[in-house]
Amino acid sequence: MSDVIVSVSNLSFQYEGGAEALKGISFDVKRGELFVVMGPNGAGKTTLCFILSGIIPNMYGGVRKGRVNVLGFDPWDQPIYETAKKVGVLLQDPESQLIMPSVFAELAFGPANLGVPKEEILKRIREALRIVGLEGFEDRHPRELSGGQKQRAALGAVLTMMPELLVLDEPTSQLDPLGTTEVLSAIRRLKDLGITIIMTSHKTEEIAYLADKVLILNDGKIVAYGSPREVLSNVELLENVGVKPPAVSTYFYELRKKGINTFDVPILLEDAVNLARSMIYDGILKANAIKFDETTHSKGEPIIEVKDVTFVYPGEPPVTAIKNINLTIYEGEFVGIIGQNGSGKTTLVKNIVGLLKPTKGKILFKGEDVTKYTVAELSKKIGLILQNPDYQLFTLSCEEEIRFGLKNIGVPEEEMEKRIDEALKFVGLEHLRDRYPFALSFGDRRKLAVAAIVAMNPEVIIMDEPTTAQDYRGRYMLADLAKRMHEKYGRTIIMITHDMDLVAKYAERLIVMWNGEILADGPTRKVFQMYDALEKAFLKPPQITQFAHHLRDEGVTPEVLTVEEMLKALTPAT
Amino acid sequence: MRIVEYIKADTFIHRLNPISKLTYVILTLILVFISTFTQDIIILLIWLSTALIFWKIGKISIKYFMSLVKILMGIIIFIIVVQGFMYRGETALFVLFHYRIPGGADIGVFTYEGLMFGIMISVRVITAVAVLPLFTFTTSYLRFMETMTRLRVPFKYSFIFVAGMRSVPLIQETWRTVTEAQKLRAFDIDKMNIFKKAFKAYIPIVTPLVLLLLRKANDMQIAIETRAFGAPVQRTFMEDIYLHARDYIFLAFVFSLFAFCVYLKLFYAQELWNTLISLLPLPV
Repeated sequence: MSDVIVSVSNLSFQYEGGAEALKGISFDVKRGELFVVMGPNGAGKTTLCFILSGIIPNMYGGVRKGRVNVLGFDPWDQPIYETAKKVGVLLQDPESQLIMPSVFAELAFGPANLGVPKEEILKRIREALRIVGLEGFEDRHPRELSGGQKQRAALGAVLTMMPELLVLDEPTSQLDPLGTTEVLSAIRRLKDLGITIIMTSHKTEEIAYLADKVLILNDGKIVAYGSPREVLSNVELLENVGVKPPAVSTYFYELRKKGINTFDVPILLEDAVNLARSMIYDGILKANAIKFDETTHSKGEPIIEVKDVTFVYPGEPPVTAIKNINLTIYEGEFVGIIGQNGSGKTTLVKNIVGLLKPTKGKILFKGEDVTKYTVAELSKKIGLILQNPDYQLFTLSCEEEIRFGLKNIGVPEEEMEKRIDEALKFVGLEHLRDRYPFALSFGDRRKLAVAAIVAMNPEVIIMDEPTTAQDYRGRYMLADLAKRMHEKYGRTIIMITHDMDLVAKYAERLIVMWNGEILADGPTRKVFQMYDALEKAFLKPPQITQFAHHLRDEGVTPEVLTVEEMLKALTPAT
Repeated sequence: MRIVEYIKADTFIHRLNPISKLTYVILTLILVFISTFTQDIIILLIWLSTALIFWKIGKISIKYFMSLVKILMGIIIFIIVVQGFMYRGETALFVLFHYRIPGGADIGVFTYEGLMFGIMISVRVITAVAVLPLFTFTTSYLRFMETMTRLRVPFKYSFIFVAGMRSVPLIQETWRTVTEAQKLRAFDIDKMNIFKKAFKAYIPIVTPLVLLLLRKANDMQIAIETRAFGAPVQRTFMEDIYLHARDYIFLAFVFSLFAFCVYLKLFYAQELWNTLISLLPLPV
């Protein structure tokens, strides 16, 4: 187990005409290890993956310094098909990695390119399908697969090459919770088979269970490197670079700051529960029954009323995406909607903004049927901010980008400038007014997309998956913008997300969707206690809520939503 | 409903080599191309009924054929109406008005000969379309790609074709999302007139579309290259790419049928047609 198969020393890389992405990093990976690289967006994680797999320099050029040894060769010195025999690569976007019209053809593609005998390929396909859990899917077209299944098919297609090293670049960042679990359990099986894996990820709480080694990159440099326990328990360091520490680690880290330091900061939920129990037993910690403020904001008037709405996508066969949904959103609410992909969240929202028309039932905005308005007219009342800003940015400057929507709704010239200024200031992009949108960072492009909608001054703002492909800071940055819209301007906010911590922190009301229906709807605190409904929708409450739930017999109030609340619910005894 | 869709099954037609099926399609197109007279309807109908028998053997639902005809109905009616009035026929079925274009037909008169000619053209269209599913529904892309290498088409080219087919839905999907994203900013392309559409309306949609597709193409290239595409070795064939006895039998049959049809066309079609007409209770 001790032989080093990847050795990187003093590696630097600068893209052609671009910034220096890596600045002198060194590390070793041993055979059979699951080596996880974490860090904020732009830290150099993807660049590292590309160098190890030969994508750099075969597809992207640049200047490299330092030494890289992968399985006895340097990917820099050989054509990519040579490296591909030993190193398999999986990227974020499951869609663009499937290139063949069936799962079988996809899995056969790689080994057939290498001229592996047919019998051997068939054997490998059977084996790979078993590992990724897609037996019986051989003849499926990629179109017929869910996001998690697509990503597993893409992983299977890499496995049939029999790589000795797998390089996975954020394999779960575009998946829903269910897809994430599926892909991570496939990765766990690979680890058990002894395959060496280098993976980048943002999902600290899951990684804590899987990784053998964790490396934290920030701005092209290594800031921490060691076992998950060493690295992930270093809450302060993680917070500083913008990697979310496990919630239970944050809790215990804060306890240490209060002067209790008889323990090591745990990184796993189970360890944290056991530690807390023994500390309560030893009289070090004391559980408090705390009462949470039950009074929600006085409800305003209903602003959106969804009445018995069913929507069916026409086709062969027709697909019922939402069934008899009844829902009232009140003015000034901050509502979170959670649920797996395909549970009907996006369909519901598209019906509300008029992109789709209900098959049955109706939707009222302030008492008026929304189908009376065109999408353009509705956009002045209800703003929908989509996941990916790149679907809408097209102008040559940020200013123009915002002006586009305002022009479309006919805002007078004098007011336009004022609104553009305000919107840019609101998202903090006023200094980039004349910049070309596509030259901005992904986070800034998202902010710009938000500004473009905010400038149109809608009364309701809907955010669809503000977390996709965003790092920890990016997620909170967008949610913070929503919160400010909510608090400062009294806007009604609806936020669709897969990030439970995010809704726990921001949403006052939470809706759980599954299979086209609403499973639960109520104050966030209450909904995260409905374990049956959540389980049915394959969702879990935030880790800190689970932590409190496990300690309810010890007297801890289970309705905790954040680490701050937990610190009140379970305090030092003295 | 999709026109290009491989449906897995194990039938005689599925087992046939793609080259055999392609040959059959080409023969059909030749036959359709040379059938230019009204009386050729007979050989077209013979060919079409064999095609439908092959449908049956290949377990392709005849319902699908009916929906194909339904889709083509608009074109068929158009052809028949145009031919009915434009064809230089003599037997008037009904008259709207009289206007004889110089040296041509009286375009106010719907003639029996025109009707028949229009029907013949429609049968040509249906025949040509009806054989395509026999290829597309029963041949997997992979087998098609691999067989093409036997015809000395480099794998690279057939791969480009298949990857292109694969990216069509990707492009459609992206197009739809971009259109929706701009609608949300009160930009509604569906509500604009053609002039406006053509000159400026597409900019907000085409710009993001192209940039996004370039990015996706980049990802795709990584997925392809990191799986050793273009490695200088002989590729493994995953599918059966050889011609077997059944292919020779099938080819012998379709070639003989083709020869028979051409023979009929050249020597007996007119005679047969006249006999057929006389048997039918038509207003002649």
